[in-house]
Amino acid sequence: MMNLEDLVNKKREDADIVHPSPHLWNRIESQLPADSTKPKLNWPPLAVAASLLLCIGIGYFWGKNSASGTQSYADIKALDPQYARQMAMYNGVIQEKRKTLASLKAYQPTLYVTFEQDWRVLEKSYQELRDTLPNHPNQEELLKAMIDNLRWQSDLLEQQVRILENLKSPPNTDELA
Amino acid sequence: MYSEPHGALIDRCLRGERQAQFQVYHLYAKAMYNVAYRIVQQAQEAEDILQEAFLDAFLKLGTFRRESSFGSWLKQIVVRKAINQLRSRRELLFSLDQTPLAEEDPPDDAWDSGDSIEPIVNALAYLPEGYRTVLTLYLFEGYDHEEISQILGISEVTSRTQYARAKKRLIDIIHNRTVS
Repeated sequence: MMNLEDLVNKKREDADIVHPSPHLWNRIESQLPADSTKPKLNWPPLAVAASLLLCIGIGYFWGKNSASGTQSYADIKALDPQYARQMAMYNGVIQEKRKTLASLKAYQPTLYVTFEQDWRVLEKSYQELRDTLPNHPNQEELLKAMIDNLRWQSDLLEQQVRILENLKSPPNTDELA
Repeated sequence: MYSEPHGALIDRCLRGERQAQFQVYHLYAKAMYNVAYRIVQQAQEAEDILQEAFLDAFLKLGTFRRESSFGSWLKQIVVRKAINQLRSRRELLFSLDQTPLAEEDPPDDAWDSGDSIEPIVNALAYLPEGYRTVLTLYLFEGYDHEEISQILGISEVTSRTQYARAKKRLIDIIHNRTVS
């Protein structure tokens, strides 16, 4: 018969049953020093306003002409700025991981195609959620579902990158021995 | 030197890249929140611990010497903060239970309450803090009794005794909860 230690060892991954609040990251971020990759802006307010208008304008036409990739968070920001910030973060992570995955395509072309189909499914359901948002009676819940979806996309891509990287590197003789 | 699975990401965090910090948070937040929650059994406190632990980790990343994985370094920070939290509640008391385990009272090793881990995690809430801390550190976080004795400032014998008792109590709790 199994003992307690064996069971916990075997099922360790199922032991994480609670989730931190979705806003915890925003609390952490608010106390971190400014992002080192972002140049500090020192513009007078009017110039900021003018460039914002320009950005919105460009963003509008860009949005009209591009299928996906860059996302607009203006409406989400109006609903909940913290969620908008996280969505932008997740989107950055997702774009970055997709690029990494694409750079590994040559090693496993067939597998890459299957992987792409997998994350496209999630991307499609994200888009469906996104499209229902403006008229949805419970926008808070919908935003949560969108964040969950982005987290799953990010998790999935992370796993896929790891798999392709492992297949790329030569087998570790220490582990085989 | 330990080969860090997220080495490149950690390097970017060292440079203060927000996107990389977010990715690291995303990778570890749930696991670390559960580590804290299992010890303190209080959602708000577990969140505060997580917040402080990630801030510490990002701000003091330069002191991470890469002798272990980033994950286990971060977990040490979380565990230390969770135990300090219990100490601040004055709930981490071992004094009543320092007597060695009697020979005639061996812990029941057999497990016959199904193969789901959830009842075990849920039963942690009903254990006294001292028992719960030793039990979670050993059973869930993978520390051995030598490490637990250092973390908690108790003897290795006390850690073993506390663990055996905690385990027995835990099994009793699960049995009683299933029966009633």
